[in-house]
Amino acid sequence: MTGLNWMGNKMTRVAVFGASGFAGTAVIECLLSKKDIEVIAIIHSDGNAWRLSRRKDLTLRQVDIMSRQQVKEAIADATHVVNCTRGSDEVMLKGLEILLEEAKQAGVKHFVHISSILIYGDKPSPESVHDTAQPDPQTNAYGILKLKQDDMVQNAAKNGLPTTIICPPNIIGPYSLFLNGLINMIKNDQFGLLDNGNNACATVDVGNLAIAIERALFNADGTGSRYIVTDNQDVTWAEVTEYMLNLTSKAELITIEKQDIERNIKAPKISLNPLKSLIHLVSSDVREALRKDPLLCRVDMFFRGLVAKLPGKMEDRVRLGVEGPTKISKVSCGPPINWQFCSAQMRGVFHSCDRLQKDLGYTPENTFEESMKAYSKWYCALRGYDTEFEELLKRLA
Amino acid sequence: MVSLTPYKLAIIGIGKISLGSHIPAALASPLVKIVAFIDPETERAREIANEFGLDVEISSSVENLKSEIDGAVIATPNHLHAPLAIECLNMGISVLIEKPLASSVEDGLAVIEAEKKSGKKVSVGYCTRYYPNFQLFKKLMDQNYFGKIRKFAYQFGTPGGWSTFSNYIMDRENVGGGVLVVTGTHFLDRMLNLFGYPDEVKLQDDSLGGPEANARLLMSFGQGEDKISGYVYFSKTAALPSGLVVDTEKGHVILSDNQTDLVLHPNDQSNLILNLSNPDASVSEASQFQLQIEDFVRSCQKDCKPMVSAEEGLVSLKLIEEAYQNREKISDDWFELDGK
Repeated sequence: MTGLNWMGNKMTRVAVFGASGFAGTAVIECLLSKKDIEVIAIIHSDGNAWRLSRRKDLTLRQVDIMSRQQVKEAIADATHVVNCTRGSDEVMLKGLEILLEEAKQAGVKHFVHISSILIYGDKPSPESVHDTAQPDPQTNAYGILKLKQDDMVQNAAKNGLPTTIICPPNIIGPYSLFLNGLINMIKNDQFGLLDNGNNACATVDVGNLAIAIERALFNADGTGSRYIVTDNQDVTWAEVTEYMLNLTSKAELITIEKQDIERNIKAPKISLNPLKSLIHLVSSDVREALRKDPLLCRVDMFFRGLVAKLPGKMEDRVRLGVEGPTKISKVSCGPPINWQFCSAQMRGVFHSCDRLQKDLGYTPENTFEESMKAYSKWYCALRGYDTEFEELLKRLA
Repeated sequence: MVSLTPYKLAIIGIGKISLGSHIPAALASPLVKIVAFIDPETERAREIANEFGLDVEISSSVENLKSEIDGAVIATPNHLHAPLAIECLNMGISVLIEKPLASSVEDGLAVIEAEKKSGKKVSVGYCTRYYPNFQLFKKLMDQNYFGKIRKFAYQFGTPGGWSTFSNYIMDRENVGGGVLVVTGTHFLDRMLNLFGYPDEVKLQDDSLGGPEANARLLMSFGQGEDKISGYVYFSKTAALPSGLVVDTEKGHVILSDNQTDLVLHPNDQSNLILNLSNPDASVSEASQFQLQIEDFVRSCQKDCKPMVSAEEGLVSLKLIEEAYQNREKISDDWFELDGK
């Protein structure tokens, strides 16, 4: 294969890293539907690539993004690169560094990176409606990591690699991990609706996300920019959860208050207390672990023998001093709410994709309602709810 | 009489399933001694032998093997099961073949032919037959404890799954199919063991030329009033609450995929759940892989039928081939379905 088309120009070859993930697969399917584009699906392992490997029209390539040589070989012929990879902090930072350097080296025409709306933190500023706002991930660990990645990608743009960042919120549509998680939480009483569900729930259909990435790949106007992508609709949690509730046997959602969330996700205060540390060190839990060593076991037995020789009340006082009073933990009688997840309802910002539409001509293909209906159909078909076995299968849920 | 000398075993194919299941199972068994690893990737085989502290012969092929062995576990990509099994049998070596028996009925028949000629044993690695809840359910069903069985539904789904060293599961030809073979064949074997061969089978899957990631089987057993309808779904793209639920005259029986739980929701007492267990069953900490290897060794030493014979493995292959021959593409354009 020469890599040249009949005009003698280099063919458009898009290498999609993280191709087997939810977003990556949608990008692959979107690109495969276009003429004159050759798609190189880069996966980390074959175990998660089933949605792609069922296609005979696609060759998968297994690459360890931490291996510079493997990355170099994988993108040697690529004209464009999309990065949808996820992994450990090291993979996301070092892997991205390798990918950016090798993409520049290979003369890649455009590099598109998927970021996350969490770069604006758990409590985004009102200005973050627009993607021109300064990101501030606050204490959100994933947001901090994604912002570090964004900085690397934007630095690469300054150094000559044309890059664009696409920043999605909750990704919906068939196979959606966000919706799968939400429905499971509703089923297991882990989700509570705040303020009657009137708060913003930013969403983007996975197909719309793929369209935005495709626009960014082939439009130089977005070089060096970061764009928020949504379905261009102001969606609330009430609207999202209404679809989800219909897929469960629940009659209604649990309701929660803002104070409940704030109380339950308050970070624990860590203070240094040498006395408490000493008491912990000589506590029965620590001693039990140490007794697994024969020598330390003997030492422990020696001290226990000494304590046992003390007069009765004295022995009890020593034990009480070391172990502390008997503690009984509070057992919650309420539902096992996932407060961290529920706190996303306090974000309160309807993000806008205006700039993506204006700069890159992005037009969402699927509406929020169409995406949710498609998810519902996928979910029902997957679970056999469209068959005479529905009642039997619900017994397994 | 059972020999006290450990059974000398070779493992053919030092891939992920051997690493995670067959080797630990063989090492845990007092009946077995691993004497050789056979794999074309000899360097990796050597590293894995070192990992387990094993001083075994490393060979790139059965032909080059120098050690004397009694039997072999074949845990290679599916399309190599038959040729390797036939090679071993022709050399007088009994084989335990990781499921499926082969990648086609034709190849399966060739293995049975070689087994007959050699007088050696072939066992097929349908290790889920050893699940205690399955064995108890089968026993109770055979005793007609549940009364008439009307229908059943089974599902198993994970978003992805284990990965291979060789990537062979991405190649439909090497696998002999997709999720129906890789995951589904275990349940199909158990189902055949419970209900026999189905009268009707209809498969829908999402293959676009490669190995399918989702497969839905609708089937029926028997006729008229005795007819049992079945629904089976396997997915490699989404998590599903897994297990078997059976609608019986006595109530709904649920067999969890956790291997142990068997519960009855009686029809006449809807607010009651009965946990069924077998007080006579011996409690074993051995994995189903160890039980499988030991069953294989016993069948060789006592010259008796193993838990899963080659003939039973062939019936599974026949069912899979029949299902694929009549397959339909599953409807999976979720937006199109909405009339868009």
